[in-house]
Amino acid sequence: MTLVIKKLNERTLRELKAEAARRGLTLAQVFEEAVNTWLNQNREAYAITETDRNNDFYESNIAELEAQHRGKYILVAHGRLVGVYENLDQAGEAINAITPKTAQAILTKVGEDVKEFGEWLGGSLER
Amino acid sequence: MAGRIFRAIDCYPHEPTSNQPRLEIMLYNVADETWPHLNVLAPVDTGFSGAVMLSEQDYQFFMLGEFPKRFWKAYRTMTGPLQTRVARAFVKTGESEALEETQVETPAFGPGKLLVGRAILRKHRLLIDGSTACTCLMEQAASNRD
Repeated sequence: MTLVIKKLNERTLRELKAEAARRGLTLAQVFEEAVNTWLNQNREAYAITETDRNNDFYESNIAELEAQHRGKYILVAHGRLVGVYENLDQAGEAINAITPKTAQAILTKVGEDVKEFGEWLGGSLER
Repeated sequence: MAGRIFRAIDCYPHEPTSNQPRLEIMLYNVADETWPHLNVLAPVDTGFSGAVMLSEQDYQFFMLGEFPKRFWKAYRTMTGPLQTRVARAFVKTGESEALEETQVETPAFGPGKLLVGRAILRKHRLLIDGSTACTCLMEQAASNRD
């Protein structure tokens, strides 16, 4: 598709064209790559923050959660407990209803999820 | 165990350059959204004991159902220990309509890659046919001892 950008800084455009020429890419390819990098950076920064907030909540309240909700699914998003559910279907509906939308949430079955250990030997590791 | 006869249900071509066996999977996150890569042919890795490994970027789609950090997995690898982030997901394999709960993972640090491991393979009968460079999902047809 065609995109017209007005009021773009001339120097920025010159540097963009020079970089494209150096790498043998079209201006469209360089623009797309730059946009993707920017989008991914924003997503990751948000996700890391959200992951940390949710885990902080979980770790701070783990004793209470295990005492009150053992065997049930709990959903943590935006750094707080969203709800407690009997099954994954209910939890899935609750995830869809979270506002504002979130990129990361913790969904765990209290007292039943455990840390697992595994092996990943050879095969695809080096390819 | 011996003497059983199997019939191929679905067959998938191996990866053309590496000849790595592949299996068709469809993944869904806990919000019942379909992973945008429909019917992807995922490389099979019998050395990986987990279910589905993903690239970091693909994993983001499943982060709505992530396990707490304390339950992230630890792997023994040939180059030392590796920690992975883990999320709940659902998987369909081949033409099957059955949706099974599974786990998807990506390395906590560094890039991951798409793989299907033994936690998926142990639920299926698989024929890795090197001579025709395809991997088939099988079902038991009969027994020649019946």
